[in-house]
Amino acid sequence: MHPETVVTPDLSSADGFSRWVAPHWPAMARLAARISDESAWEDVLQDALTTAWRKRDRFDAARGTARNWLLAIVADHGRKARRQSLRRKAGAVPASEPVSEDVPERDLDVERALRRLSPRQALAVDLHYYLGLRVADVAAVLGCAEGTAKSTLADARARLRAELGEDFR
Amino acid sequence: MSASDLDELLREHARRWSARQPAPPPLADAVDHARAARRPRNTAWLSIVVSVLVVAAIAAVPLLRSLSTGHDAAPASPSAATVAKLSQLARTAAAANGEARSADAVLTTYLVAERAVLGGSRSYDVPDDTPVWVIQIEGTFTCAACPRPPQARAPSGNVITLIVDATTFRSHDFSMGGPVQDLRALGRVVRLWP
Repeated sequence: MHPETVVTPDLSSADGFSRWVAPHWPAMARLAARISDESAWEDVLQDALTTAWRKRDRFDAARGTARNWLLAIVADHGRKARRQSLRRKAGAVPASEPVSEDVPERDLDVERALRRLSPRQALAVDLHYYLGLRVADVAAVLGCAEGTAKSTLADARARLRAELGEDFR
Repeated sequence: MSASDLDELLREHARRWSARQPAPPPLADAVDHARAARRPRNTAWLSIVVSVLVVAAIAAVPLLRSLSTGHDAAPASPSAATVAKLSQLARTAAAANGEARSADAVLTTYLVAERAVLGGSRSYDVPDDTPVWVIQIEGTFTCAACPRPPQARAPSGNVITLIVDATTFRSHDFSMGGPVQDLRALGRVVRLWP
């Protein structure tokens, strides 16, 4: 049996909804932070929660876990925010990459390499490595078969090895 | 760099990244905002919504008839322009992926289409009641452009399914493979070609 509880509380009330979301709220926040600009992640998180509240009656425990359902909504809002951000930036002079003095150079290299992945590859990596999801759960959030999630992760790793190989040999 | 080195590198990076992240905002406040987010829309736009609904109800009678899955209801046929547009979409998808034998389409809603042909993979951007055309193309297809591991064969199958918006004809979903669906279960089937 999956470790997540199979008992869904009464989602019609705000209290029941909050209790239902609470165990997954940190993971939702982590995913929002991974897939969004630093200035946008809280909006993505809030928009995702609003969508989850509005569509909570459509959650079906027989079709997947609450965590994966909520993370899929966060990922969807992340995509939407990224599209809006790209539209805003279209035609603008590209800004230089933000550099924080607190972040080690090695981490910046990893972040740069991650940014070269396709959005879907990056999402798979974020879910697997940064949220610790199993491949089957990554597939559930991506909305694809487990084999497809595995190959998406394999593609991402191949690309990252190519990007990072020289620096980290 | 070996696969295990990369795994370890990413996990280390994830640990350091996590340590730098601020705590998520309080859930109780976020839930309050989520609940309140509907209120302005319900009040400020009420008059506009009512007006639009009245106009839409009058204009949508033929569409609603065709959305009925009752086979005795004799739903209206799509216009020649609609059939031409659907045929063009089907031919474009087929030509990019192989050889097609036939193509059919059926008008339904996104929720029905999602349940029938997507098997749970869906976009939460698309409202459930959005009218969509489900286009099913049968033939022999290989998706050369689909992403896959370097040594893997390209995905292939005998069915391509498209879900397109019935108003804008914008594509919501594309899938290849899977069993041929009996589109009659979704509504009145329109043969696009041959």
